[in-house]
Amino acid sequence: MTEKYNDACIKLFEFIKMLYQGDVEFKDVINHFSDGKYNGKSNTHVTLNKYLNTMRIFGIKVKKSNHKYKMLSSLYKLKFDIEDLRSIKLLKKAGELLPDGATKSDFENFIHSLEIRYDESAQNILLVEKSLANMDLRFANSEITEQFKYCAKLCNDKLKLEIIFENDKGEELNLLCSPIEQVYQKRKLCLKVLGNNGSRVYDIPVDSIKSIKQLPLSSSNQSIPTTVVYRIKNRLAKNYKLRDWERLDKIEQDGSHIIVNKNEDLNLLTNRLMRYGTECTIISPKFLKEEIVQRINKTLENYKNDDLD
Amino acid sequence: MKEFLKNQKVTYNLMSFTGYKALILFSLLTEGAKSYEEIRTYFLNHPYLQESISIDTLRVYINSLKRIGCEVKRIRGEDKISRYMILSHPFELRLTLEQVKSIEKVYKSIVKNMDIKELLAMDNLFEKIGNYIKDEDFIQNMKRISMLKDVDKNLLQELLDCCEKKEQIIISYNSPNSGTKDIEMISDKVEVLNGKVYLYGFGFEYNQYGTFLISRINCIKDIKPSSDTPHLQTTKVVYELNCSPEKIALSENERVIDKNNNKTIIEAITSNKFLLNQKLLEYGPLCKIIYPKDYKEQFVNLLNDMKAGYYCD
Repeated sequence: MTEKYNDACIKLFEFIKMLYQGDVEFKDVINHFSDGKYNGKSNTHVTLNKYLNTMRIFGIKVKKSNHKYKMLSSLYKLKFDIEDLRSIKLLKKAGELLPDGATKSDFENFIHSLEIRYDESAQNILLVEKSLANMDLRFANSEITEQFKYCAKLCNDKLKLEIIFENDKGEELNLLCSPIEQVYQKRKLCLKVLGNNGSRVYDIPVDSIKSIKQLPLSSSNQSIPTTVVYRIKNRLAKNYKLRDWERLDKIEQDGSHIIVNKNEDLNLLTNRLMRYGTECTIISPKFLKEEIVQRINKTLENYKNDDLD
Repeated sequence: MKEFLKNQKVTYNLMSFTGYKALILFSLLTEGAKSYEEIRTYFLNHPYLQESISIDTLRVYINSLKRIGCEVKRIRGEDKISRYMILSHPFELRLTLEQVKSIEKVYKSIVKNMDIKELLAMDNLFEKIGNYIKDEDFIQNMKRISMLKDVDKNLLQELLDCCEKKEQIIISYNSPNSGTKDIEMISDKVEVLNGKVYLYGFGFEYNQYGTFLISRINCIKDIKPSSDTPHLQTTKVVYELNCSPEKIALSENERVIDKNNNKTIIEAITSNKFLLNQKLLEYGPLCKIIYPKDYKEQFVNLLNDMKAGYYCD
């Protein structure tokens, strides 16, 4: 037996569903309420007005502009407090830096799906809370936005690059490389690139780049990432938190841990491992082991003429 | 509509009563289970409706709600009365897999630039969203990105409050070396360092400034009424950095005392040489300790020990 239902209810709720998806063209709405039979003479627009009034009286805010209906406040609302709204604003600002494409569109849809469900309290906060407009979006100032977009373009173009950049000592280095992606390291925007031989990853702070030249050669996607294996012991081993790109290979009898690290910028990695002092030693690769010993030796050289006991 | 705004009276010409009743019913059944009698009374007392509803009409409305995608369930309570409730509906927040991936991507791009309070607020937001979409994996995945996975958020909030007031506290700490013990300290700040969340403060045990992994703090055992800054045994260390000045990140306990081309002389007042060692080791050959001699010797010994670690394998 067919269950009885009310066509008016269905039409109203289907219209609300359409509004949840985004702005709805007037012609689509009128078609919906006339079952596609609107001829300009029927009174569907009167019916539509009644439904719009119904929604407004219930508390659903719908606005019409440029022949489109937009839902400002929805049927089913979610509670968000001021801290949530600040976080959403941070995400929204960061999302604006995404390059155009599917990911950006998916993210914008997510933000829209939240905003459309704000409850009255959240909407009131947005109206009165000026601090949300003046948030410290340090990662999203206009200069960084431009840098971010430029880096995104370099990554999308998939061409090899010749980059001249300044290292920590202030020396200029010339690097042939393939761009991978833009990342943040220690609050700085960096361009992650793969060295020309495909084995070494560099995170170059954008503000230390002196020049970038795109070469007429396709960038390499054949990466042979360097795997670094190192041992940590004592307090460090007990406290160590593995990064996403690391795994614990084994725990030795003396309690030391063998860590396998892949694809980290070797300069940043050696900086970090130096901090660990005697509680960390690199096992492989040989060249990096030699590099860190050389770094220790060079540091010791600073003191060779000092009068030490 | 203008007339309604003026006198708050509804008419059949103004709006669809059927549609309005359906909206009211949707709202009632998403709030919780309602019996026919409760619904009938609500409709009867509603300022705009002021009319009853028959059980047959209610069924038609419920069928309509089901037809648009609501999952309506009838439950029978201990009082033997049937109640209706909406378990799920098409207006709930739902995220596609692609949307979740886009959120992860955006979050990863900013997470290292967020301070601990922002991380905590973001974590709370994702937890809220995860609860709305009924997806615990979403919450856990986002926590993993934010480094707060192993952190008790309530404890973190308490510690942040203590740091704000620089409270003198006693924490129960699970030390990797000596097991669980009480540590008395003046709380200073909470910060993320190398992907881990630390509490910073002046420890009374060694009379020095120290860092404590928050994931190892069991609880705050006591907050003392007054906090007099203890007499700290500090060391003044002067070191030279041989790099471009814009690459120098001074800590709160440091100041530049001289600058000449690429050479910068920095004075650091520290009560924890371990933390300073870490910083100076990271600088490597760019840094040379000038003063005091005994600290310089200790540092050189440390470097020699590090070197020996590579030759004894």
